[in-house]
Amino acid sequence: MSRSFLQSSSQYLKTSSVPVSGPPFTISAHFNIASGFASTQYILSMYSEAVSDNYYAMAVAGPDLYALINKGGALEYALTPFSGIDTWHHGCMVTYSTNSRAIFLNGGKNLDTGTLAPTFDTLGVGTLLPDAAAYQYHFNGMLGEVGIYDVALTDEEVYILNLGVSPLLVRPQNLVFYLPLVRDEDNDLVGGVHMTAVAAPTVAEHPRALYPSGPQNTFYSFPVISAIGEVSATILAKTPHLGFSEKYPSIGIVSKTPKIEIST
Amino acid sequence: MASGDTLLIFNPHSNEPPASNYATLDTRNLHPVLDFDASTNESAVFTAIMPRNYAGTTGITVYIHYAMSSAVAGTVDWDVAFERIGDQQQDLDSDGFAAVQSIDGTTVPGTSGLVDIVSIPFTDGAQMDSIAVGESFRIKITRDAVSDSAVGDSEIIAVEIQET
Repeated sequence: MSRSFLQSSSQYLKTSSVPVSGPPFTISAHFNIASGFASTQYILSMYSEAVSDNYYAMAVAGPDLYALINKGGALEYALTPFSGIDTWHHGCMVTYSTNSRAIFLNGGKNLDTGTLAPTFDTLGVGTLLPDAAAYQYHFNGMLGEVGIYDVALTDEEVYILNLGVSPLLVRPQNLVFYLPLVRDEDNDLVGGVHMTAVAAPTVAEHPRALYPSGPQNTFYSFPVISAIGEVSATILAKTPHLGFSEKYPSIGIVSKTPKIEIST
Repeated sequence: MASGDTLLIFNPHSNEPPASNYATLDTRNLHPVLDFDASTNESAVFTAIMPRNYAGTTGITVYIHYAMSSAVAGTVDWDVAFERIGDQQQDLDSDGFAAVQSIDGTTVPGTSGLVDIVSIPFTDGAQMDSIAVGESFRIKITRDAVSDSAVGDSEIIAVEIQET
């Protein structure tokens, strides 16, 4: 289940902290805009709660998906044409520096250059606080698998996220915020932040996603003891399956044949 | 391995969702589950390698552990199919699942949160797409929602493959 937001009810999530302080960083999210929305809606924003018009944000406005930078009312952005409501898309905002940023839609990239470097202290999912007074431009639809990195991901890494691979499997050492939004668990599983839900957003079907999976099996096979004598056993190897890489535990046993002596 | 032994276990996070009509991840009291719609046939797919101690004679049995999201009456139908990937057996660029084996008309538990376990046997050979030990394969599990009658989602919590 993903989180479902109704724009007309001003539903969103927020927390009074941010996982990054400035570029470079990457914002990734799967979004599904529902019909019946007003034109401008924010997928995710990092904004100043006290100072108006200071934010980085990923938003849909008109026919485009934007990576927005606003400092004191001056606006810079990278944009890419967007279409397709009631279907899942992947959006990604990558800031390489204060001078360079890109917006990705379903793996396709558009670049922009600029100079603005806003300050921010609050994170909003499905909303923006543009004027330090009232939340606006709420999202209308479903959001899932939100991730924030403290680096600029490569184009190839963004493409992997676009495929539905969990952020946990893409440069995990730089993943500083991960909000799967499965059902109403509004928890950042990496930073330990619990998002505050405003106006009771609901739940809906989750986007297609690939996760790290647990170990498939470890089994011990012992023969039936029917007489006094030597008994041997084989311990099967444990093979955790992590999706894109195979990893063997440090205490894994490939094969071993212990002997158990039975005597009266 | 002996008859009755577990060969493989899959959990919801192991799902490799198909491009469309895929079962979706959810939680139920923090238990990860896969939701299968009540009106559209949705599938979950898992990849594994057949353990080398599968005897290859008596076949396998697939056990599906599921609960109903809300239904306490009606029936649920499950279809399971295997695809042998093997050693130069299957072109990854296309699907090659064998015919489904089904368990139909199972009356759902009278309490929606109770987990029911149903089983579907596969004889060794064509029914399991002739998968041999040491070969990779996929298993696809589909709720035949078009045919069954229980309302609401059906939620898989685990899948087991046992040596029959």
